[in-house]
Amino acid sequence: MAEIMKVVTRNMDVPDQHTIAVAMQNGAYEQLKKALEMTPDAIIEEVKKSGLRGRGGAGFPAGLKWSFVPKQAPKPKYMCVNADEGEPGTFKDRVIMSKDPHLLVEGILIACYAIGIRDAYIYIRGEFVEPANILQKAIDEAYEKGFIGENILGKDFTCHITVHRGAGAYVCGEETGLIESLEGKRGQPRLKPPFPAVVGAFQGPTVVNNVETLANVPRIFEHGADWFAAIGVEKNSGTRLFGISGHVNKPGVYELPMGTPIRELIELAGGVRGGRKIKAVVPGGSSAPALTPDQLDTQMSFDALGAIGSMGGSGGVIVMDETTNLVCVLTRLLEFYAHESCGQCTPCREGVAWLKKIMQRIRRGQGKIEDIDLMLEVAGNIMGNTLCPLGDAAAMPTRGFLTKFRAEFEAFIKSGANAEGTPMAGEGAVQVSVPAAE
Amino acid sequence: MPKITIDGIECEVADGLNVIEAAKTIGIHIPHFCYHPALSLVGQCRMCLIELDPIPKLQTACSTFVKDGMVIRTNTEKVIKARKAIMEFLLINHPLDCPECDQAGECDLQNNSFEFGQGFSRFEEQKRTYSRDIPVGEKLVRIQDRCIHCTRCIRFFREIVQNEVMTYQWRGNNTAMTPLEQDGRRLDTNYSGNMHELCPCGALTLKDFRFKTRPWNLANTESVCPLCSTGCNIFIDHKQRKIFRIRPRVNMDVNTWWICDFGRIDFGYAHSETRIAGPRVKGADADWKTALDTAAGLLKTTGASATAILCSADATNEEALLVKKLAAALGCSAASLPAPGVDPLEMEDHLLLRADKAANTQGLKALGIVPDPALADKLSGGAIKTLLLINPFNKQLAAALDGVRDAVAKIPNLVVLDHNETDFSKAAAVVLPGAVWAEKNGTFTNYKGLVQRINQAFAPAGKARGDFDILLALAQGAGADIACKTHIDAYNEIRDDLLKLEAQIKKDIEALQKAAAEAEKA
Repeated sequence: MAEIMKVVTRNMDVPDQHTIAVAMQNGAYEQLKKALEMTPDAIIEEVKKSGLRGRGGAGFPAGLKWSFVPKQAPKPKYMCVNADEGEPGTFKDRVIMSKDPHLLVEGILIACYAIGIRDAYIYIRGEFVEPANILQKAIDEAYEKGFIGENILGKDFTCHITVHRGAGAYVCGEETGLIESLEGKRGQPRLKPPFPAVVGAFQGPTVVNNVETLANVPRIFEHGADWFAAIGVEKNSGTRLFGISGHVNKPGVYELPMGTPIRELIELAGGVRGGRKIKAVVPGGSSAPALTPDQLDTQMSFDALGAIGSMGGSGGVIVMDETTNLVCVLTRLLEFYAHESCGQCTPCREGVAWLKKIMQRIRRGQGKIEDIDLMLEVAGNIMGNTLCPLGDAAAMPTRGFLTKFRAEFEAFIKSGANAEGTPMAGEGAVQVSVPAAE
Repeated sequence: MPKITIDGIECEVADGLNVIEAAKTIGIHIPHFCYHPALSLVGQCRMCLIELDPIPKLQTACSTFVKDGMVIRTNTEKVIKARKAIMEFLLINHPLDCPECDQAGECDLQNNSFEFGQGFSRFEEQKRTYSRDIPVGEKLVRIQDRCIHCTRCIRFFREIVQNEVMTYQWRGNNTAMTPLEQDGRRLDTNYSGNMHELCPCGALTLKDFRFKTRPWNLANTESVCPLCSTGCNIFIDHKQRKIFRIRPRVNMDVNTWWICDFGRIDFGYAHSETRIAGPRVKGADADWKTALDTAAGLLKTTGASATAILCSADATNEEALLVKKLAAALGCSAASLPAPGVDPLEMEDHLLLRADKAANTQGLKALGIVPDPALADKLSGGAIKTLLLINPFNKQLAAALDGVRDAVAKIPNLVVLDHNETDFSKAAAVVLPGAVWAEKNGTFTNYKGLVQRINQAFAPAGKARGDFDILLALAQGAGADIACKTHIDAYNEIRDDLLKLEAQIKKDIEALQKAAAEAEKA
């Protein structure tokens, strides 16, 4: 049985940890002091050695990302902290910002010192009003104490942190969409290359890091890179904040070493409600193809989940029990992605809305068996052909559900049932009997 | 020069090209919608996807720039499949209303769907629709249903015109390219008409051309716009001696891809009811022989000092040569009038419009027909008894004549050569109906000294004749012995003078640029 391992969340149960006084009693900004005695290169080396990978979704090595930023640039360099947390099923960054904002601030400052950045922007999801207020208060306190601002701790290091609230677009969680939105433009991703490390915010080299990634940085300096690298499994070091939701008894955020099997996380979360059986589990935010019950011993690491055709993604785990109507689930997902498509590139703008319309028709009881193959083909035509990953994010779960649970979709279509306006799961959900596989 | 391989063909291409342009140099066409060489790269339509070794994912050719050793494939199964997929996506919500669409026949979407589209649709859902026929400024009509969201319009107005009159509205599948309004007024530009060519489907159509004719029914004559001294290269698209539209013709030295809306739309005078129907003598209709003989006779009656030729700068270089020869035979002066003061901010801009609203000021200058400031006084003072007035319909000459309008109308021996009626033609002793630029052959010299050919699209309307032929007859009638009987002969005679001017202007411009650069440095 897995055990909760509190690395990032260590102080989150401490009352008033979000205030600087309490946070400093618990060691906040001690690692910043340590880091400012080191050379920037040594800091980047330490982070590389720790094996810290981006916690936003792609799992890109953080130290490597930092090292891509040119040392000498004609334009100012920027840090953008991705606190947009829009992936359905994901709610871990909110916890960090609400409970221990100084941990994030410290992580940002160490990163900025290492890369040579004077301006950091925290792009926070517009709906996160309370976390944004807490974060702003924490930043104000840190300014007062001299941890942020000019000549931090008397050193030749100046850094300013600004909280920027988004306006409610999922696509602004994509790093270049975030930058466009930050610049005050229509939030839509940019054509890459150039990548943000070369041309990012305000034309300057820019690092975009997830909140959880940066919150890990002070811990690496507290305990050393080797300690951090030893947690978890090979090439997937450290812990992860898994946000588990859906049909479990104790949904919430659980910090576990990387590589913990999904089954153990579900057990930690109190098991499935009502003792029901599991039908499907989304392992890393709604874009990750769902797993079937026989895949629940998979380790929750970027590489192990990637190996079985899904992904670690944002760490948002959604558990669906046997009463779940997957036709409703996929329709709801596609409604979300079609709504959130920015509309600039053809496959995503047209293809995702097409998938949505077919699924809505199937849900109304007007589907045809051929629709499944058509959807698989349309999803295949979106995959890899879009400007940003949003198209893929819609196509992947579509392909996942339709291939792994094809029998259920076929049975629903054949039954002619209309599930429009019905609950997705539990009492009142439309149930169809799926013939047993031969 | 990077060496690259496209579809197995090794070639050496210029530095800095993207793959679409590089492929073009060896005759390989990569289909695209959002890419345009004049506009910023957005990679949105995804039509130009290609395989680039060793990247597993398809890449957009528009945003991939050539590097030495690059291996590109544009005709693999994977690429063709992607193009077919994009075409299907673009067409599912397109109304497929080609039979009533003005773009049909010259439509990128239509052409590409012939190549990569299917004869049937797998899309059974409700198509996306918007309200139709929304005006964009005064010159365009938007049918958003047809739009494929390439954003060329938004980028054109933002980047080329530098006046954002369109923007995105809504997002995702409902994104619309929407005209902006301010204080209830539709925003407009002087270059909106270029969307007629730039829009790759029929979403932005030209109000002036809508439902008039099919483009394949039009003959296309290469010419040069006469409405200002820029000399934009154009196509005159015409049918049955009637102009239906003017389109830009790419010339990177002059107008690049664009023309202004004046040049595009203001051709109505070629077919207006005020075209001079036929020759007249003392207000009565006459045949050409009588009119020419009478005119030639009149020009010789009052002696050289009381005779003048006043010519608009819309004359071709070849006509200007004959004006010079006629003046020499008569012993009189040939001149234009100084242009009246114009507000340069209103008349001239960063793109194509020039304050000098005549086609050939530089050409006339090269041949010695220059504005004569004393001429206006002579005209108002009554010193001129005989005047050959050529093309007072030209806006610039008309404005210059404004102060002496009555005096000129009272000149007893007034001979007017023009294509449209004016106060002067109505008062003239002899009226000789000439041709508009679309009915002429010849050359114009633009403000940079560039000599450019105009071609006759159709014969002069009704009884009108080409100005060259009329001037030739007048000069011969005045006793001049003229060797050049055609515009080509005339061009050969003045070619060296024109080219000398072109070289001189080029040198002047370079010197100016150098001085400006040095001033900036300092």
